[in-house]
Amino acid sequence: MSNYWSPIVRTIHPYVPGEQPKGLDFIKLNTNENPYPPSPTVLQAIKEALNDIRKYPDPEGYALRKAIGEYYGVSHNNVFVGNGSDEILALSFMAFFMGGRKVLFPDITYTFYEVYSHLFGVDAIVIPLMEDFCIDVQSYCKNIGGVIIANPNAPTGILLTHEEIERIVSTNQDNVVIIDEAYIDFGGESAVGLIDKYDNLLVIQTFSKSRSLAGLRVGFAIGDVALIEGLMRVKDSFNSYPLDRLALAGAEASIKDREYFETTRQKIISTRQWAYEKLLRLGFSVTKSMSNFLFVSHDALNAQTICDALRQRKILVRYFKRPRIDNHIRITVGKMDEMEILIDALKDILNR
Amino acid sequence: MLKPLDYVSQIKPYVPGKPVSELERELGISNSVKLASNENPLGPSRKVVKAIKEFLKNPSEIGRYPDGGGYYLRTALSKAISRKNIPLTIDNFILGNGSNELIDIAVRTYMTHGDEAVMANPSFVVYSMAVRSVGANAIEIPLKDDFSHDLIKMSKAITKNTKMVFVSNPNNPTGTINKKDEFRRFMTDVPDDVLVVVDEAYYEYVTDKDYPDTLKYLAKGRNILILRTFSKAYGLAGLRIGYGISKPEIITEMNKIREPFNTNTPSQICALTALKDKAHLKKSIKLNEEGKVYMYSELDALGIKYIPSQTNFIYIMLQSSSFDLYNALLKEGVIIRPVGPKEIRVTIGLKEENQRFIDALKKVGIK
Repeated sequence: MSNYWSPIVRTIHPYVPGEQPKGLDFIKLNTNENPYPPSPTVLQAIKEALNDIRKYPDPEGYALRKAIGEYYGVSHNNVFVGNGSDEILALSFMAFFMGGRKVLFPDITYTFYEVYSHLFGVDAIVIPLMEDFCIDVQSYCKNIGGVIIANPNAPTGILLTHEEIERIVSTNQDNVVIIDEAYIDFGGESAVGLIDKYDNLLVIQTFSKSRSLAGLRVGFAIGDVALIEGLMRVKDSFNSYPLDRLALAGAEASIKDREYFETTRQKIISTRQWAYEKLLRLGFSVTKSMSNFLFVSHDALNAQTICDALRQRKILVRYFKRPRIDNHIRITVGKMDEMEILIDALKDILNR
Repeated sequence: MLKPLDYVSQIKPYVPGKPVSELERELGISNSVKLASNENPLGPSRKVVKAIKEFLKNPSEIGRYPDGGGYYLRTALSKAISRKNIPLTIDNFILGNGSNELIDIAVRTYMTHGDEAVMANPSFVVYSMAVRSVGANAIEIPLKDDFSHDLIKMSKAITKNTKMVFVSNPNNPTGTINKKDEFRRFMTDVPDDVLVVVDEAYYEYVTDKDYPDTLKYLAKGRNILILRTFSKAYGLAGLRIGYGISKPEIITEMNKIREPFNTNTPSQICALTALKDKAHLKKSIKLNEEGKVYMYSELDALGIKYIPSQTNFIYIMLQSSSFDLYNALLKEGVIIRPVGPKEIRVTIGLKEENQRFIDALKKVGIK
């Protein structure tokens, strides 16, 4: 078989998702899921959509795109929806980067960018984060290839300012700049406001984090009509119906319930703030995260040890065995009581 | 000016059938019947709806990522499909966002610039689109006079650049099958370094005793990928879930291309539940058979030519423009799918839906 695999498949290193243990007694702070359930209106919408599951879904996802457009004050023609933001990233590689262009992204970021650049045969220019894990903005302002920046970045949680984003977008007129805003709702300001000014900007978001719909797989992209059309073309050449009826209905209900969304995201932001301070007091170095996770390290105990010790106490956090960050752990911000248990466990582990 | 890549501009996107609500809005009609997308008119098992309502009782679960490996569904599939002499395990299965996505994954796993894939024409259009999208060539071999794949010509079209052959069996849009004997010969002719992708989206509807048992070739160690779906006979088109059956080493490679969370939690739950309700599947197939008998006799009476079908749709050959008939039927609130200049494809629906189609056909008087 081996001489029959494409050269890319032979050398690929697929993304490894965080562990999803069976059994209910783990506190899961390892996959950046939202600890709060989705809005009750989502459940109602899914129940209603069940009546029609024998029929194919709307391939254009019109109603959902319209609802997202209304939320952000743009036309549905500026909105693309996909089977999770991961799929939209893949389609973006095919639509904008494949075929000889290059793509720039940081060394420490969402690992999918690297997986995809390899998978789609796009040369990656990997730019190291600075010593303090901040993005080296200047290095992206060279108009030499597409750019993908997670804002806030993962797994550091550090946010670029609006001005920095605009600088990157405005200096790359000939290339698509993708701002992956998977975690933007936890304290950042979306770059969607810039799409009128820049036709090379594509903002990608997800319903998996701030809207508690990880189980449904819905992501969306907002950008100039020409970019959205490019994505549509690629999508329609593979799989016209990637979003199912339940996902479309659930996501639409979710984006319409602004009040519930505000309440839950504020809870997460304040829990994060609480945990941030506690962790500092325990002697952790903690990045200034504006996401629903905290990125920490400790001088006294290495990350792997902390991770294992937490696991023994039935708490899962994420450890990445990657250069530069292999002494850090990423902790998802859970509910307040879960974070209290975490802090107590850490106190215990550190003998404090 | 920022432009998509050239190959993207050149892609002619697949045009799926319009949703009924959209057409009704455009035409100002209501109560229309859609016989255009080969959906199961009975819908899924009632147990499916129950299972989702049960799932929703613990709303936090929607906030959790799906089981990316689809453990429970793949286990259930392996148990349901295994036979004594053909034992299958979870490692023989891959899940897709519809079997459509698995076509794309297979192509991206094994094909690149300059490679070739052989397929029939007309057949499911997504094969050629997926192949061209990786810069490979789609070699299309016309169907035989009986509208089934010309497997002999297809195997002769294989060159040293061929990586894949697509066999849509039954074929969409003609509803025909290639039988055991010719398929056996075909498998003998196909070199072992070519992957045979057999799309069995309509597998459950086939009644012909001479339908090839493709699992046998898998058991023999051949490089074969069998694609099936929950969108048709299981009535879950609205959910987007299908599966592939192959050797573990092929599944492993395809899994590298598959996005880790390509099928969502509700889809996995629904498919798992649907798979277990054999009575409902039986009922769906029976209804389809009855509908077929009715349609055949009415079409015969009208002197309209069609191809006997092994699926839940009928390929009908007209004497005049298929688009004229499509538009005329649309005004009568009946949506069908034109699939060629003089050819239409009609899904077999509920009894009253089939009657609506036949009545409308009589009324518009186009043959």
